[in-house]
Amino acid sequence: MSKPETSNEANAPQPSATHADASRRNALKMMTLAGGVGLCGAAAIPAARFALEPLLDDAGGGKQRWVRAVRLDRLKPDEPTRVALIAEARDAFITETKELGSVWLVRRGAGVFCISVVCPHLGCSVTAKAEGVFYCPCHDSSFTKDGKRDKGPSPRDLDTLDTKIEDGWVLVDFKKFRMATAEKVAV
Amino acid sequence: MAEPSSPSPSFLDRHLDPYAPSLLRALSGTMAILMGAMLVTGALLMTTYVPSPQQAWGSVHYLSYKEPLGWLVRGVHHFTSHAMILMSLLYVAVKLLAGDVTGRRKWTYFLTLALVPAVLGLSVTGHLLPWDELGYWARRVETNIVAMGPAGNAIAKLIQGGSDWGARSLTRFYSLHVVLLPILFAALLYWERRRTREDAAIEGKAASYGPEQALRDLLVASVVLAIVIALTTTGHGAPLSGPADPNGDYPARPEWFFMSLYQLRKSFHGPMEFWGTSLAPAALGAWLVAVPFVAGKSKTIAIGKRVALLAPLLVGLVIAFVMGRSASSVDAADPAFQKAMAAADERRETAVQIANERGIPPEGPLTMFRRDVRWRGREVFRASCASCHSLGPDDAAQVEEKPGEKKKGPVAPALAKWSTREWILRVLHEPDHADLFGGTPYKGNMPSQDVKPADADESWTPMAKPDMDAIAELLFAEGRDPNDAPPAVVDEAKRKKGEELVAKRCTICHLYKGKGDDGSNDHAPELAGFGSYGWVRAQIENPATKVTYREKALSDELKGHMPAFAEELSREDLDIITRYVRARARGLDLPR
Repeated sequence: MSKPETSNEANAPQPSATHADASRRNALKMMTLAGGVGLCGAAAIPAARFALEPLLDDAGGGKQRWVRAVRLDRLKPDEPTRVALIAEARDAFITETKELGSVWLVRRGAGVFCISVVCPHLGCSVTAKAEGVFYCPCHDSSFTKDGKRDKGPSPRDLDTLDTKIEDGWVLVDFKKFRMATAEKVAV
Repeated sequence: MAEPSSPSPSFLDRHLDPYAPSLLRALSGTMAILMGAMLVTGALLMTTYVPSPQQAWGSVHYLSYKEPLGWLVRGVHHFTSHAMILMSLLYVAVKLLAGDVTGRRKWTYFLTLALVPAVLGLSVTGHLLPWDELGYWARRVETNIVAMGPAGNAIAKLIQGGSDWGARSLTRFYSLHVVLLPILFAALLYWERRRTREDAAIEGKAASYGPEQALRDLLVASVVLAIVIALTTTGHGAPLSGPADPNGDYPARPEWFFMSLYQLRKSFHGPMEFWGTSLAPAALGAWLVAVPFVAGKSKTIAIGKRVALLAPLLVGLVIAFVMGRSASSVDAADPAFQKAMAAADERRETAVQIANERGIPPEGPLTMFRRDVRWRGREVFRASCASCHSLGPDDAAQVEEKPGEKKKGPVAPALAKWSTREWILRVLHEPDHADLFGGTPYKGNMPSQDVKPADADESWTPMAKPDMDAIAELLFAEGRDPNDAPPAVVDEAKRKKGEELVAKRCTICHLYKGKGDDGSNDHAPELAGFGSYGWVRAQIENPATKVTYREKALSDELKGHMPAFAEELSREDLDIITRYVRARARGLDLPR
């Protein structure tokens, strides 16, 4: 405050001093600006990386996961039975034993036909109608007994899942698939 | 209308001046006041709300049903948000009608317009927070619609915080709802109101925000809040559907403000679905953005032109309203939808009831359902027992009957009144009735005690009625449990007599307390403890032990006998189904 330059400026501004002062102020402004941009930029990179992190998530990534579903002798031939698959699952910061998802199981001959209950259109759960065909209550997609697309907006057939039978139990290779695409992509 | 030469122009010819104190100008002031109400109620809600899939529904249930006045706070927050949507649209309409879209006001108008998506964003994020079926499914389906668009999969991942819906979807929506969007909205509204006043000052109009206007703002805000409180009190606060079940089959529908888009989408399939649905609202949005450029540079716009600028918005809103209504009426006429909604309503009522009476475990409302004897018991019965047994009218398996196919009746004993005196008397009288053992491999094994068999000789005598009553008394007493409510009342003398009779007459085939004469016919069940928790549970876990139907129960000779469920059902489910069947059969209370 008591520096001579400052008091000079306040008391008797001279053209050369004003000019010097203006260029000094300009330099300070530029430095502040550059510093501000630099600071924001330095913060923005990790912040963006943090915020965009979900893009890298591939959940199960279509990895094989056999889950025990139901005893084979509980399934009646050609009659769709809805079974919840219960196993341990991790959701971000919580790991718990819960329903991974549900499937429709149909006993056919020696094997078991399995489709995911998730409608490939927008993800509601499909129900089985009396005739053994499948139907989505959200946007009226319907599917044949084999899960083939019949009517409605669904872009593809219902998603089939692999099954195997071990010690009288039906095991399902549980996966989830991307919604609303014509091709079946495991996520 | 008035003559053109008339000194004072008619109402329609007058330039609507929103800078003079007026009720129409009060819209922005009202939004500011209501924003205050949203901040206060929002902060109060945050004192209870927990943003996690395990606890969100429970904390909102607590707010709505347990916390004093919680329902009011939540209801006001909920309905005010809907009022804000309508008011932001109305405010845009007023600006268009006033012609405040040219010159410097153009940029003010863009701020006005930006309020609409900000308010919608707040509403969309807020509806997810209870993690109830309505909010969960609406957002999940909408995210999948977004995923259909350009770069959709990446955008969907950013919205839901990963490749699937889960805990991080909720925390992301929460952060948007309570921090980012409120700041955005408040900044927009503040800036918009400041610019509106500056616009007027620059044009030399009386721009002071005096008591004349403040009073009008307060009046309009009070009216809106009165409507909000009326809506809140008529419905006990904001609606809360059942807890979200990612594997449930809730028939997803959006909230009213997106209902028209839902209807619109029905007309577009396949690759057209995204564009078909987004084109109309995008076109309306594009028009609203384009208005200042279409309006020209003149400071005053003729009323006819102003109405023309406003018309697309009004027409769009009317069409949206009609389409929304038509989607609702399609649903109202759809029996499958109505049935699904009835099931969802029952689930919601049950959830509220259990949460009221017992509270919610830390694992969340889905676990609460799994532990509830009445709910889970019925589920297990329907899935695992109902293909052979019947119980109550509500316990049948939920399969649609195939047209033309005759329904196969249950083959195992009907369990209504099972192990009660009435049921035992019936077994003594007609054991092979279709409701008893007539459909089982045990048919013909037990003789009636009071009907003479065809091959009986002269010495056969029917069992006396008092003896049958005594046996019924004993067997009923065998099934009692100290914790039963209402407690079983037993005539002790009768029971004693029954015990003697059973030892004398029934143990030829049956076991009683492990003892029996047992000739060749060693598969009549143990009668001690018959109907008790231990007996029923043992029978369900594995009928082939000497506790119930004995070692031969699962042999080929008795093929068709009840299977063992010990491996198939979890321990929790075995406990629940035992308690459920006993309570339903014996008429006991089932606490939540």
